[in-house]
Amino acid sequence: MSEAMKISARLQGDTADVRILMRHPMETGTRKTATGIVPLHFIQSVIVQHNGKTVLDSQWSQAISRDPFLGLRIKNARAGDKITVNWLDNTGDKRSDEVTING
Amino acid sequence: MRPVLDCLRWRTQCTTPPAAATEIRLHYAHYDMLSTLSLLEPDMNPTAARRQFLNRISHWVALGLASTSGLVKVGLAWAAPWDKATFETKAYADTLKSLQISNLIESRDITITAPDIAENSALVAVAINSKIPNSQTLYLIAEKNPFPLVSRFDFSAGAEAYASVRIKMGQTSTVRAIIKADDKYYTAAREIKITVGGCG
Repeated sequence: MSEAMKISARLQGDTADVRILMRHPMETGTRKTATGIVPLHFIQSVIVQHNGKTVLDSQWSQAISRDPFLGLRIKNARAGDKITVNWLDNTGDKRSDEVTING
Repeated sequence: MRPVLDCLRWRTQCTTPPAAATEIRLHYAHYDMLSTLSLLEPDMNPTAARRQFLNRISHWVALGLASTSGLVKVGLAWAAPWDKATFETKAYADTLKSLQISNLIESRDITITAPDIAENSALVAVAINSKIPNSQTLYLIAEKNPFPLVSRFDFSAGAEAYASVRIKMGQTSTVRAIIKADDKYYTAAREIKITVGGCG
């Protein structure tokens, strides 16, 4: 089970400035260690939802840096709204974390 | 007889055990073990310890059942399957072909915020903002990366056409943002210099 994401959602007027830090090795499949090449292991899909509705649907390659950062801006946001971040990686592992926007 | 009475008194009074009751201590030694495993607070009386242990176990069981049965993510549908064909293209020209993009319109309404020279090529912060109306999809491409397509973002009406990520770059390259809006493709690009490669 992976570690929790850090999600910060700050309201700036009507827009929520959302910053997410995920924990994931994002291995490119080319890194060599003493025991051999570390296999490909990276987040492929990230979906961000605002009160249950998908606002961002993204697909990633292994070129996104380790412990991925994602910043986005959500419109028509209010204090108390729920932001849910879901990711799925190439091994089928998933994670979902949620925050509530505070003013 | 004495230890049993001590034990009973301990149970009814719920105080820390008398020093002489070593037999009682041994009987409840497993609680000490559990507290070292951080499953229980240390030095609890046995009744509370048992109650707390059962509570914690039941929470884990419930969570385990919920996540395996998919209750944790009810109703989540992954919109489009991962575009393997495009993500695996090795040359920028092939990436464009795979995305079926033939006509790219240069646009000043797409801003790319990124360093001119990356200090750490495994962590290049890139932010893209598009002021083009009806921007639906953003493709982020590092033209000289082993696999040029870095990511693709589909914005719904609820999000601004903005994304900020950190990427790995293999060598000095043009980083390009392609925005799909109303079936047309707009682009802006920026060169980022690398001193040491970031892929492995």
